[in-house]
Amino acid sequence: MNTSTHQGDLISVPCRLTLTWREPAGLFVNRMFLAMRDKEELWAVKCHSCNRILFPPEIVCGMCKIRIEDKEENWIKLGNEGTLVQFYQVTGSREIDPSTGWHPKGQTFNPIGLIRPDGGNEWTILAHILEETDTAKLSLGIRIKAVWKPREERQGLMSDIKFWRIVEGQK
Amino acid sequence: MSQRVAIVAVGQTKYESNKSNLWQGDVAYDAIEKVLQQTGLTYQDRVKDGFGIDRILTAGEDHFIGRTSNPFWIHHYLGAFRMSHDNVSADAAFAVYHAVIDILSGHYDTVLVVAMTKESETSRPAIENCYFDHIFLQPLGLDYLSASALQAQRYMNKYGISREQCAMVAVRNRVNAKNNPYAQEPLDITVEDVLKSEMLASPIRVLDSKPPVSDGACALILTTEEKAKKITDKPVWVRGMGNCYDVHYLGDRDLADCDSLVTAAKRAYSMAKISDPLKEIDLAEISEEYSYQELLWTEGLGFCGRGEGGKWMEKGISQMSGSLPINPSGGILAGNPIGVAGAARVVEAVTQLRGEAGARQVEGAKTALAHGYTGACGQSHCVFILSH
Amino acid sequence: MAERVAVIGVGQTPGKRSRKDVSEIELVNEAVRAALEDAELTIKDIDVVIEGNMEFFEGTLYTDQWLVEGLGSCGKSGLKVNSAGDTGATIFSTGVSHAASGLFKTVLIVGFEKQDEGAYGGVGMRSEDSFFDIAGGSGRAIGSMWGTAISVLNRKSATEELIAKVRVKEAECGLRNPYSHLKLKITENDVLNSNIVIWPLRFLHICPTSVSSCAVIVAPEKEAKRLTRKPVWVKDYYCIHSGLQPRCGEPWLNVGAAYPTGPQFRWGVEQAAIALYKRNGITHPRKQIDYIESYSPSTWHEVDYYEALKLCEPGEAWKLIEEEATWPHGDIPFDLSGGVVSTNAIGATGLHRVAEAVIQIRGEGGERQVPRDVNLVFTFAQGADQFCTAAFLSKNL
Repeated sequence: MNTSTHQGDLISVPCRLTLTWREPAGLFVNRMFLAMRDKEELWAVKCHSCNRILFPPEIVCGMCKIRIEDKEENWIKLGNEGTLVQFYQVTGSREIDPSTGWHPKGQTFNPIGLIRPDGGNEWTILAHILEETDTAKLSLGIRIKAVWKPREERQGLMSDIKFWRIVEGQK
Repeated sequence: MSQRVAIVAVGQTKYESNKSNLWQGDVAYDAIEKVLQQTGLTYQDRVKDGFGIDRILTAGEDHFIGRTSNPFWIHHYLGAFRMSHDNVSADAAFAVYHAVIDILSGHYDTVLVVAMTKESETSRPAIENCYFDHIFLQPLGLDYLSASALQAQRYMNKYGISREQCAMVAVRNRVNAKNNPYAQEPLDITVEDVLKSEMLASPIRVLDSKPPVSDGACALILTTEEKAKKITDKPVWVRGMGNCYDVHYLGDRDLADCDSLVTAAKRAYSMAKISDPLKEIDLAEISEEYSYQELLWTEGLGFCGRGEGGKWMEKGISQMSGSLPINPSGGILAGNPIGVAGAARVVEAVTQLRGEAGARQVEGAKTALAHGYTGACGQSHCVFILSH
Repeated sequence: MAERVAVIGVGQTPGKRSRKDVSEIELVNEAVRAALEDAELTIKDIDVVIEGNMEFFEGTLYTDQWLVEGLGSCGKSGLKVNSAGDTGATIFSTGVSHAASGLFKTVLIVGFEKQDEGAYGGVGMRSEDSFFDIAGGSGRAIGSMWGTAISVLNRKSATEELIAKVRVKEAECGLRNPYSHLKLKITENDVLNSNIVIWPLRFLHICPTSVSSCAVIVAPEKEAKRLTRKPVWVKDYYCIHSGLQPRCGEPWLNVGAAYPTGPQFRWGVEQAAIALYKRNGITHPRKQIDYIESYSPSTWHEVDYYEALKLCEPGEAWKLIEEEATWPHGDIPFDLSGGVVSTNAIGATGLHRVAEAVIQIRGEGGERQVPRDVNLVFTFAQGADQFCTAAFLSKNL
């Protein structure tokens, strides 16, 4: 039952929120990010109980609900090459400017790849940007490799990898 | 109550101003692992025979995490896969309340409650500003400190509460904290130190206030009477509880009153069949972020009459040596993050009743009161009466 | 449950793109008054108020605290729960819990979302992990919807044409529901030609962002019987979490690993259905359940749920569509309210599902009423690929 009896203009009061957050990466992820920044290496951990290989490395296995011990045998080095498990491309939506809540015009997006780096198992998936913008050239199962930014541009974040490139010479 | 509900394990992290090497999940797991180890319990989906945790409740608010659906990001730390899990957006005392309700409803038996906040990751005052309505109070730039300063002024003015009486609260809490290994900032201070400390928002001075930033987490496990006896020989029973809302707009109530605390406490006392709190309660862990609040809350809890909080403080009843010690842990004034604070009071009360409080132990404690609140100037309060 | 619980009142506000004529306080108050009127109670009769919404979307901390005047919760007990899209169903389960606890006589449950007031888009982009999620212009919700869509297509559970057929059904149902936000007169061609967001997900497949509020009043058995002649019983409810390891590629693990039967979004719903069916003697859901109100933020989800809820064999949802079994005249009507693709005010959505279930059981659905006796309804909501709360509501105890 709407009993509003407005006449004339409806007044809206503008309010702008500016909040910032700084998140520490955490016990395992910090180490992983440093390895990315300093050595172009991708590290995962394995749960000794269920054998899932998890990227990024986490201190708790969500399946077994136990701590993953910080032992050398639990750290798994992943390759810089991998398999494209799935991909998608956003064609009809646009990134939103968080400060205005509005869509800026004229944006295109590279396809996003769901990637299984070598050394991972069926529980290992990494989401990242694909270099190839023509999705006709992408197919499930193709081999791709990480293209790293130069050292001076790397900060210890996932964006240290610029994108993933199709490995040449595939069938 | 239709059945008895027990708290069978409690755990907390050390509270610190900046756990800068830890992600949110790491902090939460620090507390969670403790209660899992204490009880030897795992989660219902991992249990082969016997029973496990069948419900998880978190207390968190999206603004502090900076993302929607705040507990989602740490659900593997919570052990939430295949489990029933929900999130209460309030001080975690309300999550404990929800856990008791869940067990009384008969739908769940064993509930894990987790509260975690990392204030260091953002600006707490900027977020507190979002508590106020967008049209009238938020644009004034209010936060909990400035709103509390208004409340302090009104309360002290109306009843003649002195700055010294408030300072005594700060002193007792900070000095008590020296006995608490989890406390963030114990201090050896005097009333004079408090009165000389820098002014934050009149009349609240730096030492009248909790430390500005705090990180930490706590966890509890609650269960039915039957299961409690299988897990521990020191169950702590929830004898009574109550919560209550007050109005929101600061000008809609006399800030020298705390009607919602009076009602919440009455509900808890009535359920616990307590008619004389001063006599029947052995210790109280109550939530106060600024020193004047303890005086006001002691009135609301019925420890003394209206306007008598200051005089009551002077009697020394709430000192460690008194007959109703308040905050042997040092409370929030010694450092506790928002959201976690109320549940941390429950954790402390339980620790006391189990006789495990070490240097801060209140001897012979049998019945304790634990209290938390949500919202500036204590808009909603939640009170527990616990006993062993 | 210790005490059996019934729904004794429901109230909804019509979904809209924007309600600039009301504040949030007034919006929830509309739903509260409607529910009280439906239950023939006053606010004085309510003991406890449970509220839910996604606080970040409106930018207010502890929204339940701010809305006390609209909710009527001053001087009463209560709390706020938040579980993303599942919020509406979660507050329902929290309210039922309060009623079953023996401590309260009447529980008011209110959900709402007023997204015209917040920067949903900006906040929506903050629904991703800071370090690892890359949704590439879509935000988590749309990326997750794509996961469901591609999985349905790959399983051959439906073709794009059949999805368009279901979408038209949803639109027609929306036209018959006075509370529905979108009132679209569309054809299957309109749907097939609608803009691609992430192929095969199209604009018309996806729910809108709506403004609405929903209020439901529940009471334990003795009170319910005393207060109303048309109680609708909460037969059972179940809550389950699908999230496994959020930063490690969820919700996209559905493409192979963790959830072999399909997307993470659907796994929780399927598990909840299996558990509730077992506990309540449901062996032939299509026959034994009279009506379903689902949380389907896209048409692809609805079709996915035909299989997840065991209304048909895996890979055979297309049969139900061709038979129009889930249409108003079908044998297992589904989302005759128009569903979430017609209205999605996130904090309210799960509760609107309950309200619609109650309305159908009472036979008060007007133009959208199932044209036979409705005795048993299955309803659920889902949040952020993680939370799922499902319930059975019934006419008889």
